[in-house]
Amino acid sequence: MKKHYIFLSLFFLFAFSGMSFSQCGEPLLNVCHEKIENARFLRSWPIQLPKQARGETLPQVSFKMPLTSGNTYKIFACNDADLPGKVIISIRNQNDDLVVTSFVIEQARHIPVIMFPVAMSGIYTFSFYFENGEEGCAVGVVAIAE
Amino acid sequence: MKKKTKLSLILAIVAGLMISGCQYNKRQEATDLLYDTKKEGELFLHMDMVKEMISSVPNPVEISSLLQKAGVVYSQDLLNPAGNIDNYNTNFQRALNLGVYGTNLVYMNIYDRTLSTLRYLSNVRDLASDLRIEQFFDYKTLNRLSESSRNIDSVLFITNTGFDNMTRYLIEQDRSNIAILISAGTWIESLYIATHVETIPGNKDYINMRIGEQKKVLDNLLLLLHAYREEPNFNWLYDALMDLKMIYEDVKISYVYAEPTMQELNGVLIVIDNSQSEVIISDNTIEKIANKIAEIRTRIIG
Repeated sequence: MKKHYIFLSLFFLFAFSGMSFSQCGEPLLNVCHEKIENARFLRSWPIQLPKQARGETLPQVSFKMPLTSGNTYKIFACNDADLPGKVIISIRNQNDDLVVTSFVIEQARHIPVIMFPVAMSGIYTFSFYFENGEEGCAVGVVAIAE
Repeated sequence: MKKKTKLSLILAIVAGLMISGCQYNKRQEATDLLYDTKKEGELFLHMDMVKEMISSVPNPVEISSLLQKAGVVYSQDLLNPAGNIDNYNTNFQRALNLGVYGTNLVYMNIYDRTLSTLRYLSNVRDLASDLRIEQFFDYKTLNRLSESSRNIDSVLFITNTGFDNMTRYLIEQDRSNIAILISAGTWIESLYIATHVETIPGNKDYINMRIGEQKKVLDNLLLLLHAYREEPNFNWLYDALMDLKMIYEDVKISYVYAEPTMQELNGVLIVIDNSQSEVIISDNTIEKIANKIAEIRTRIIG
C-alpha cells in the first residue's frame, strides 16, 4: 500500500510540475491575445528567465525580426502573475542603436504598449529581461496596427 | 472495501493518463522519423542561428498588409491554384508549397476573402500532415472561424502562432531543412505577389521600395540554403536564388539614423522614428526581379 502512495505522489508531482510550466507558454499567450485588439498578430516569443544570481549578469533573451517602413507596429508583453518578474522590452535597430524601451527609469514605471511607426526598414532586435533581475515568465507580442 | 474501491479508481485514472501519454509520445516519435535530407552530424549551422535567420524572413502578413494599405486590388489569379496540391509528391515540394499556400491563406484573409480560404486551409492541413507537423494547427477552430470575416484577426493569430511553433519544433527536431524550405516558399510567394500586383502611380514607388528592401532577406535565405546546396533538390533552388541575388546587386539601400523621439498618450508610448532609409531601384530591375521570381515560383508550384 505504501508503495502505491509513493508512486501516486511521484506521479502527481510530475504531473503538476508539468502543468505549472505549461502555464507560462501557450495559455499566457492566449490571454495576451485579447490585448492585440485592433491590430494584426505577427509574432510572439515566450520568455522565461531565472532570478539574477549575485555577481552574475542580468538574464535576458533577444530575438530578431524584420520591421518594414510604412507599417505601424504594436508591441507589448504579458506577465505571468504567479511570478514576481515584470518584463521590460527594449528594441534596437540593425545598427544596434536603442530605439525604445518599455521602462521609464526615472519614474520606475512600465509602459504597457509601444506603438512604433517604422520609417527605416530593417532587422530589429527585441530584448526582454525582468525588472530588478527577478524570476519571471512573460510573452512578448508584435502586431501590425491597422 | 471502500478504501480498496477508491484506490482502484485512482489507479484506473493514473493508468488512463499514462496510456494517453504513451499515445502522445507515439505520435511524436513518428514525426522524428522524417529526415529527408541531411542528418544531424552534417549540419554546420547552429540551431540558434537557423532560428534567427528564419525569423528575419518577413511574415506574409507584412507584405499583404502593405499591399492592402497601399490600395492594391486583390487578385485571385495570383494564387497557386488549390488543385495543384495533387502534384506534390516529395517532401521538398510539400515543404515549399506549405509556405506558398500559407502565404495565399494570409493574403486572402487580409483581403477579407474568408470563404475562399477553406480549400487553402485544407491544403495547408494536408501538406502539414504529410510532413508530420499537423499538430500545430487547430483546423476545426480555423474552419469555424473562416466562416465569417469578423474573425480574421483570430484566424491570423492561430495561423501565425501555428507556423511559428511549427518552425521552432522542426529546428529543435533537427529538421531545419524542412523549416528552411517552408520559409523559402513563404518568401518567394510573398515576393511573387508583390511583384505581380497591379500598381497605380500613387503606390508604385512605395511598393517598389519594399521589393528592393528584400535584398537583405534574400542574403539570409541564401545563407540558410547554402548548407544544403549539394542536395539534389536544393541545388537548383540555391542556384536560382543566386541568380536573383545577381539582379538585386543593382539595388542600392542607404540608411540615415536619427534619434527617435517619444510621445506618451493614454498609457501608449508612440515612437516617432526620425530615421530614414533610401532604396534606389530602377523599373528595369523591378521587371527583372519579377520575371526571375515568377520563373522560380513556376517550378515550385508545378
